Amino acid sequence: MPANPGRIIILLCALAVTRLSAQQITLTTSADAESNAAHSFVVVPAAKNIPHGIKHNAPPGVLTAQTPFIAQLEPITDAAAMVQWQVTIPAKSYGDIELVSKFSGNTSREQDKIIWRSQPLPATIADRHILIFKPATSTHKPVIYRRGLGPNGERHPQGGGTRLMDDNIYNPRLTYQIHVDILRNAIISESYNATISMDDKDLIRQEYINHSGIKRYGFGGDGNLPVPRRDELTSIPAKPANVIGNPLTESAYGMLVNDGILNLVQKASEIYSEQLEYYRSNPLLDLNKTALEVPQSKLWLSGGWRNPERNEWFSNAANGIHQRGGAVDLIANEPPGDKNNAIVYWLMWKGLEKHKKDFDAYWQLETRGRPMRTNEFKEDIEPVNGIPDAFDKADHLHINIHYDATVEE
Amino acid sequence: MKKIILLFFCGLPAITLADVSFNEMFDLDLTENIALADRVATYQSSDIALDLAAQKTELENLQQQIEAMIRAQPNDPILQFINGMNHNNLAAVFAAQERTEATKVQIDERNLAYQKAMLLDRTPPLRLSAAVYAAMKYGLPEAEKIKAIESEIKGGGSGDSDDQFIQLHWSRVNALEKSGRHAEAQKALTEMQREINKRELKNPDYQRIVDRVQKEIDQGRAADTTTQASTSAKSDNQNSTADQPVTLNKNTLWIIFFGALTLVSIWMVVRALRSK
Repeated sequence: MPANPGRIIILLCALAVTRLSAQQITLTTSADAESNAAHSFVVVPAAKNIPHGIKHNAPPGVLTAQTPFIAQLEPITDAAAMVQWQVTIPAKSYGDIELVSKFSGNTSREQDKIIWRSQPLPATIADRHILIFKPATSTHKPVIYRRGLGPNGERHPQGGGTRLMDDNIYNPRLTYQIHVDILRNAIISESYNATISMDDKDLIRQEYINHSGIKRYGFGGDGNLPVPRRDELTSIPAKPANVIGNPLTESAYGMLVNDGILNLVQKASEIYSEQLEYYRSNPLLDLNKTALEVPQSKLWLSGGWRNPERNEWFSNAANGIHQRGGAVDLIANEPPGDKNNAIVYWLMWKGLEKHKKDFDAYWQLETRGRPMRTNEFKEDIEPVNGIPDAFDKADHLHINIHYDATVEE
Repeated sequence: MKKIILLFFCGLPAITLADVSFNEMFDLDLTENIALADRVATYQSSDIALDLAAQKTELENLQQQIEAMIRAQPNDPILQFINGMNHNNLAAVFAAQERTEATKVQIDERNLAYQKAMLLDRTPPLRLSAAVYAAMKYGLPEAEKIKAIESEIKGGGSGDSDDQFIQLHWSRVNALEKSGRHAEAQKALTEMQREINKRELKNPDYQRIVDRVQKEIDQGRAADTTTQASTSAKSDNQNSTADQPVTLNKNTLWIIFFGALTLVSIWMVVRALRSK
């Protein structure tokens, strides 16, 4: 093959790339081995003891303090070379980094990012090949926990939360782009890049951290949920075949905390099927002892685990139990307000009562997020149809596992 | 049946909602009269450590205060809503006392107050939230209930998930269809489908609901067409049956006329013969 200038240039470029990739930035981002391997992290506020481990039987533990990020090159032996580090923060809302390394630098703010640059570091600076810094503390937006879904379906003016992941304001995927130049005679001779970025597990965990201690709008306790450990976040299991509707989570993340929700749905659907079978040959009587025709529709799984930001979009319950992965909402697959809807809840309720001894869970009928009152289980004042009002008004059945403390729905 | 009711009491689980305020429950920002609104909104007869007579006295005092506020601000829909809620609380106390007639009176008063609230909230932007409409719709006459559901939808719904909003649409279509308003039901179903698409709810179970509802509308229309045809045929038969007495009457008149004519003719002939 005849040599020509073009080919020679390509060959030289390839050699240059080989030389540049001869060494790379080694990163340490987290004390957790799995998180570290993914160059991921969470930002833990200083002087705050946040419980770690969210499942009901999780051993007691506290989230470890923030681990500084370490970006490291091999030692630079060339005394004439200078080293210049740069950290780019792609959103101003993250805040400045806190430098731990002994050398200094300058921060500049551009339109939508923050850039920190070290001075060119001569050989006299010890450990110039290692950059150590901490991220700014992540904060919850808005300041107060308040349901985001406002009137007319638009965002409430002071509301928070999002149905999405990696939302710039509510649950941003914090990322730090690290760049280092090796300069010789004021000319860049080598450059290296690395990125530290939250993976999905740490994105979820950061949501929990950001909600810790958050002031709640209205009455009720401030945010106090534990943060899931990475191994408590798992893939989404399939729901039982005799249940339709949503998967065990509606969240946009492809994972969840499963603190028994699959078992809850399985058991509830078995009880419901048993009830349908029973009432095929036995009449379901209303309060006037008139037989009711029982619809044969399946149960609809409405909700299971919710990530904190999704929970905040829909609810004011900062410590809502769905975020623990131990609660499900089931709804009748019948039109709300219709008699069939009430019948489904009634026979389901009767089934749960039958199985009270062998179904280790709590359950309650709810309407608009409130539990039914005791009276509503015996009254039939609206509409008068022989069915207790609780079942006419119910819009879902909430079931959860036992937790030691009193918890919010 | 009483045993079943007792079972319900035993089954109430040990889980609570956190204390909530009127504003939080109904997604409003009321500042005036908030203490009274909180008391009325969170009044749960079964959980209050007062006997029923004392509860009745307290609720009647609250009622007087509400009525005084309404006299000062007669066009405030939120006050009418609070008024309705207090009548509802009174109804619950009367129901616990097994006073059926008094309960009914309070329910009627409640419905009247809710309807007034809806009338006062006709002009956008709506002052009452979706959560308020959700609370008001139960027990209202069907046409009013449909209006309440429509306002609840306009307000974005009050459920805590996407599928509860779709269910709200479904309840509207169902209520319209059950009222025989097929064309409106069809339009509401189209809106429901649009909402499913907009929210990118790709689960085929949502589409199955749409198909099922469409079938119900089609069946409702077909049944109405059959009923109309049968009513029309019946009506035709009734008309022909109804015409018969008229026809008979006409014939009778002719018979009487010709009979009388014959008699007159006979009388004239007889008279003529006698005169000869």
